[in-house]
Amino acid sequence: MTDQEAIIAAQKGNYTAQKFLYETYKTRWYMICLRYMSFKSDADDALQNGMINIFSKLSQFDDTLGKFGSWSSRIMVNDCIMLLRKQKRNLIIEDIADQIQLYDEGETPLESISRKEMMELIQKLPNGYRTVFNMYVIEGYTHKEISEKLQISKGTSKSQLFKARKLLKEALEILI
Amino acid sequence: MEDNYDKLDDFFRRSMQDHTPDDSWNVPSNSLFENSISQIKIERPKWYRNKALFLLPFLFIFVSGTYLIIVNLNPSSPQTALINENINDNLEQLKAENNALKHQIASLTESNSKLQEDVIELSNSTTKNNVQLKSLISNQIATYPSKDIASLKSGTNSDLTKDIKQRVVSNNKTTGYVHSHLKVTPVLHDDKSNAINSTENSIHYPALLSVLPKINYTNNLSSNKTLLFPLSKIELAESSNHKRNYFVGVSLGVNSSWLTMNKIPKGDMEQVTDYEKSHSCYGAMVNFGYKVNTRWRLVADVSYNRYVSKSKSKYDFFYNEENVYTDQNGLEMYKANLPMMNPLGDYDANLSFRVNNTMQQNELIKEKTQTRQMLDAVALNLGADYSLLKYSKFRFIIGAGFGVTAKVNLKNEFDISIYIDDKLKHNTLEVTNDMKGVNPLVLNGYLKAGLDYMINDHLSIGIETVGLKSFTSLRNSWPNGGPKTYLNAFNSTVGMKYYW
Repeated sequence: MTDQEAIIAAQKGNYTAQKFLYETYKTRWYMICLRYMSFKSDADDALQNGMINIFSKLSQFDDTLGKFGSWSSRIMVNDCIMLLRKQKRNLIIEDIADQIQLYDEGETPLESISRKEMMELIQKLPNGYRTVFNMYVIEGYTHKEISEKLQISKGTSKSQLFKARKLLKEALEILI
Repeated sequence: MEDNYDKLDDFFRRSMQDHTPDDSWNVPSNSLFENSISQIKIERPKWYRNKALFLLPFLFIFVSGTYLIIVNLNPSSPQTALINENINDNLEQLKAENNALKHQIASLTESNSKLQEDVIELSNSTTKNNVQLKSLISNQIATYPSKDIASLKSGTNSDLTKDIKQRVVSNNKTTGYVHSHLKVTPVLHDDKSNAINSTENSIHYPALLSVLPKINYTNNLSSNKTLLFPLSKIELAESSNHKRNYFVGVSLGVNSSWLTMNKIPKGDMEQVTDYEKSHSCYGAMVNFGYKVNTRWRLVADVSYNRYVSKSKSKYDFFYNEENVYTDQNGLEMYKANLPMMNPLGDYDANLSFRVNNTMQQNELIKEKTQTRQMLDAVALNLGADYSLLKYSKFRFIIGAGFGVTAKVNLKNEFDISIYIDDKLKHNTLEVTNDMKGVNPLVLNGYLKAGLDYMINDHLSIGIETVGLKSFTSLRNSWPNGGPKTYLNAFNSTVGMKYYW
């Protein structure tokens, strides 16, 4: 079964097709949830909500506008942000960018760190840092898009990203 | 400054965009999927989402038709009430006029009595006076010169007039005078009675109404209270569009179909465990009509309809070593021919799935299938329409007929699951366009009701609801008499007709 066949069948509520899509994209979706949420239980909730939305809105998916993976990932990211908002956790911790001392490139042997450890590092970031870091670095949003989506200023988005990077770099140093 | 983090960003990006399952830390539990799937509400197209929509035309026709029928039958209906109101108005007016007449008659009777007394009195005195008057006239004429008489006889003097003052004597006393004006008009024929044709007396009587007043029953109803009569009793003049002899129409609609599948085998190895009793879909229709008379029309229509059926079936079979083969990858595969019994037509699926060497001969293998069938059919129907109620713009139509339904395409989607030891071993989605299990022609009958509104001389817009029932089975029954499926469909259409 191809993605396209599965999407058509899943739109009609076909269980096998839905399962096929889940099996194909579950790791991708779950990793998004893990990146945005601090705890596994929250990530599970986010994944569940995201899947309900994805399968419910399958009829809106237009394959001429992009791939299903990208479309469904966007829904998953949006659901994670919504869930963080619902949890009323402060997405933004500080607005003032500190002056961070930079490290030279090549000093850190990043390749020695596993994906799981990197995920844990991201999860340990404060909510605001983590959200902006994920959106900017992994998802590829611009600061303008982030500011609109999170309803913060562009400067705040930049400072949050800066702090996230700083913390991650410091944490990596400790790990290594 | 940002460039200094490019390597860090790139490293995280690459790592996080690698979705390979890794020691299950990034693999969610299957229970999450099952929980989610139970809460999914599939978004349907708008027309489908609101299933009640297809019922609206039917409800509209039903309510309108019922209303119009009640209006014609029930005396307490608004139109009848208006009629009664108008009649009551007339009665009240007539009563008032009647009272006035009675009053006038009483007055006239009184006047007549007085008049009779006067007439008797006058008659008495006039009889007496007339004798004197005749004598006086004779004496007077005798004194006229002979030339006047000659002139009168020859007609050269048109009129001869004389004022006469006559004394009225009573008990030898003068009680009054009668002033008379004598006018003698020459006549050219022998009718002597007209010779003296006028006598005007100065006796005046009370004003009399010699004739009863003529009562003009004018309709005093206000303009918005036009006197109405029961519509069924009035055959309105046909509008020009009603007079057209032929029409062709196009309509689109939705249908709701009810499938009745009987003689489903019980306890056999292969059976239908459940099927969707009703389903909504859509259709289109072209119809042609010929007017027989003001009420009846012969109608032929060709309609395209799509019917959908969902069902569940199961098939239990026994493991047979003869069906095991090794594929090109060296895997042991089992080849099975699985009959799929479905409401709209059967299908044989040929499946291959992996087995292991622990399987034993005649071990039970279970197959469960969820099927979605989509049938495209073209129906040709012949029937008659009767205009139950007909107005200048509206017609409320009922009709009946029969026809054949020819199936043009059947799409099957089978979601097949194979269970060994009650564990799911194989799952596949089969999509076919197989018409083998389908009865190509089905006989059906229909009843319908509809409303037509004439837009102009040639065009009308209308809605119709058609109830259709098949008399023969949709699916090819097995030689030994297998399940039969009958279709009951309910179509609601909106369309236009062109008359000429």
